[in-house]
Amino acid sequence: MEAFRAWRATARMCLKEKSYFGLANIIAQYLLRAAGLGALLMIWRSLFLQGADMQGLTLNQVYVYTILSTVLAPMLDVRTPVSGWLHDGSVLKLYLRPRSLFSQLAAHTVGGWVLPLAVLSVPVTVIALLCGVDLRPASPWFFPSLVLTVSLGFAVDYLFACLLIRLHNLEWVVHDMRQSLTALFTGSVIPFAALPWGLGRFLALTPLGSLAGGPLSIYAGLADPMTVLAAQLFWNAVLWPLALRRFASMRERMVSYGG
Amino acid sequence: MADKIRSVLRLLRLYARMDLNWVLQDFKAALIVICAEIINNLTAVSGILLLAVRFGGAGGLTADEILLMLGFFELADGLCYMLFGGFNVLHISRRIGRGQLDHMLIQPRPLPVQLLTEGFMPVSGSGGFLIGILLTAAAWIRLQLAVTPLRLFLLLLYILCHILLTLGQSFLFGSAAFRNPAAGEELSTLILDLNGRLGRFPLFGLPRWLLGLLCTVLPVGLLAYLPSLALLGRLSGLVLALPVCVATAFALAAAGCFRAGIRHYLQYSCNRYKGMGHRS
Repeated sequence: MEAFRAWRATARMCLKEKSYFGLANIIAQYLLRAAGLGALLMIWRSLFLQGADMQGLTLNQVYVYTILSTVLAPMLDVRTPVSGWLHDGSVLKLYLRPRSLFSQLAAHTVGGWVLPLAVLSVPVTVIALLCGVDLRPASPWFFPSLVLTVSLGFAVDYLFACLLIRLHNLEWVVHDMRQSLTALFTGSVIPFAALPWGLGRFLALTPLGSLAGGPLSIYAGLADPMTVLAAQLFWNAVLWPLALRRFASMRERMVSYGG
Repeated sequence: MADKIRSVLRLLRLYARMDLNWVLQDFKAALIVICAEIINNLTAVSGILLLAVRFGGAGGLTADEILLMLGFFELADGLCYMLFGGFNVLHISRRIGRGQLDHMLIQPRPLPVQLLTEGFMPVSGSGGFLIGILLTAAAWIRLQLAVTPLRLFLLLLYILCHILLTLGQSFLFGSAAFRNPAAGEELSTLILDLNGRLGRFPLFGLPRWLLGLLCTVLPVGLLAYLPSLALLGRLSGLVLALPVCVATAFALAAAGCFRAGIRHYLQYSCNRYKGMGHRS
């Protein structure tokens, strides 16, 4: 209980920290995401209006997929603060505290989810429901799939942190590359079912494809839940030990600016 | 005037050499940066392009027309990044918000000359520009567009408008960092992200009021969509001049706000500045 209180206090601190850059920054950030969502929904609508052969996809399915990808964005692509902290040296302070590194990073990450969920996810969900979008999940297997996605997301994040250490703190390069790769290969923007040449079937089985694409496809009824869950379980079993081992060995190579 | 131009060209040469030196000194890091930039640019265009391929077009454009639009965006945006991407000139709110403008004010060069030259990265920052050339050329050939003087003139004009719009928005919104350094530090990044995210979308099918908004107040439609329609010969008349008018308006507004911000900065400076040149 004591440990959980400390963990919750860290998460609360992180939530407050998110407002450090002020209201203008927060509003601009979430307006930006809302605008991105609006544009994507318009594209889907125009595809249906122009009478494209959607090969089994319904407009409600792609709407649900796209809206959920924004509503659950922080959980579908887990970003701990470790990359930024490796760059500016703040990571050192984590080693001075009487808690494990991973639990501190997890607390900071979960604390950081509160603001986007409250400021963006809730309003978007309400607006979608008011507009008549049927947001009920196609299968209850979505919930375990989401848990596995979050777990896998942490492992992938630690592996990216290892890459950052290996590349001697080229933070922005790793950040930008990750941003681009995850946008396409995790299925967070475009459902795998909408990709040409059977690409989606292949991507759905990759570790990145098991992140956002997995639970979203189950939620919208675009994939078989058992196949998705099997892939997620497999990648969790493979990537967690790998991430822990790599992070332990990379700790010796850590070099930071600032402090 | 000739002296000023010579001075600008000399500085551009100097920054180009510095950029090349960086590549030669740490070739591995430079290669990683260049490869990462190429991957970023390719994945940025892939999403909408894959959709267009799968469904035989999107947003009122065929797959090849979408390729032209994306190629134009990469070409113009890549050129803008190559010219102004270094030292956070494009992300000017970071320089202002961190109090790093002091570094520029003590240089023996006018501020506009520094802003015009120090972001130049012809070697490490050319990935997007080169991909843009390749994509535009590929689309141009596939669409069998005739190379006419008018089309080439429009291409160059709209590239210039794209650069002016990008810089104009970044400096206009980024000028808020003069008064609110902490809150405004990442405003330029936010507006550039918005352009990058929405500027690649074809806007066909949007309600008129939204289309009007996206071609004037928040001009993401002028970054690639409207120019590519013009290059395809689907637009005529006054609407062709819209990017020029809006880009000029943004550039003038940005210049005015930046000048007002500088006056404020000269009086109050930035409370986040530290001796080490970093923000607090």
